[in-house]
Amino acid sequence: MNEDPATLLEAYRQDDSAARQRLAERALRIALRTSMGMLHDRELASDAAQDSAIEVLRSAKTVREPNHLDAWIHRIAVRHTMRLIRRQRSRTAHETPLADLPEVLEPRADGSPHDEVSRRELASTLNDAMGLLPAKQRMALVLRYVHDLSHEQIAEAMGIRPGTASALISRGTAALRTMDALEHLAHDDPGEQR
Amino acid sequence: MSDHDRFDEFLRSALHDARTTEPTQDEITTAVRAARGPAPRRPRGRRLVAVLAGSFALVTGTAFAVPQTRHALTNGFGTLKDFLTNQGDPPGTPIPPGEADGQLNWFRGTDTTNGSIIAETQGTRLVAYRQTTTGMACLAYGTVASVCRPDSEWTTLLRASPVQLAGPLPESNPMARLALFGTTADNISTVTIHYGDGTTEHTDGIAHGFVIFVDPQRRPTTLTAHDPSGFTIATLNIAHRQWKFHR
Repeated sequence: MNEDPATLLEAYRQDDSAARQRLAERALRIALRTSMGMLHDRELASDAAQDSAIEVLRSAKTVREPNHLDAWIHRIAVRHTMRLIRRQRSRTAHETPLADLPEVLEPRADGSPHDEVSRRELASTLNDAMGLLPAKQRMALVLRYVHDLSHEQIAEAMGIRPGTASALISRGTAALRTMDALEHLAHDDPGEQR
Repeated sequence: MSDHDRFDEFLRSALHDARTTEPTQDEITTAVRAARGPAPRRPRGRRLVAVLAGSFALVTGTAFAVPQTRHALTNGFGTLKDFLTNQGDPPGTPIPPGEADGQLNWFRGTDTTNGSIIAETQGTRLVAYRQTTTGMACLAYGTVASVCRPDSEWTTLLRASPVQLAGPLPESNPMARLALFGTTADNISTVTIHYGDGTTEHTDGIAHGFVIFVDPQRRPTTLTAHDPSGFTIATLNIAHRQWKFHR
């Protein structure tokens, strides 16, 4: 991830097969994390990430500003993730979903079962809460808290103004804080939950 | 730490899985290959269809398959398909004389001479046979379960996905793992189990089916099936299977 984007793109333009792999990995990593934060489903996230990575690989030679490579990948990842979410909405309206089998929380072999359970409870509670937010607010929160992007970078990735990005994050976090379950969890020391 | 910072930290901690997700080598390879070709998009995965059979779930995994192999996949079960749809003999190895009696409870009272071992791991077998009383083709999963279906049902199932999974089933072994059974299209030679802890386990040399012992402690997430060149033919979500079996 730390590889200089200009060097990577230059190698890719020279048809370096290793560079192609590294660019695919870079695009997939960004896109997977975005779609995982939005969809909470590794399989669906992989779908959106594949589409993103394919577009990145096909269009990367046209990138004019190598230093904006990651921002460009973020834009593509946001677009494909949102597209998949819209598709999922229309599909679930007329398909009968498979009844989920109860998840079994197995203790880890390294002896940290409680840590793992806590984290998964935490993630599950947040996922439920985020699911109640509008998709754009969720996306802004994912870009902020999964990728640690600035408000300006989020605006660029989502194709909106920085002020709008700030408003989405502000409203999203405010909405989450009003939810009792999250407020309760957030007042515990996060360090103790890891 | 301010209340604001504390909430930020809380959100980052709760999104830990998304923050640390990494692409697999298969995903990278698939993207690189798809980007080169004229038809890059993978068809959408469809959700698993669960079919309860007796006391266990036989689950049909529907796969992500690349368009150019779709036609081959739907017709790709070859001799296994021929057997299950009553058009040929079973593939695999005939059960050695004397082993059939007692090996499978379902063989009792029926003609076991047509039983054929499709796959075997650590003594646990996936066996294809025909029930003499009904004429239906059957698959026996270890020594604990068997499914017999009319030809039309097998045809429908085999068309649905290049990999059909059954289990997990409580085949005991020294590592307390659970057996996962599968039948596969002809072009699948390797399957890989991906675990939540980032590790994988490959099973090579597959022909028509497999028996894999899965470690539930490591949180199995997906099973991928590959052709001899390493290309991913199918990806099945196995995260939501009941990885704990109560006898």
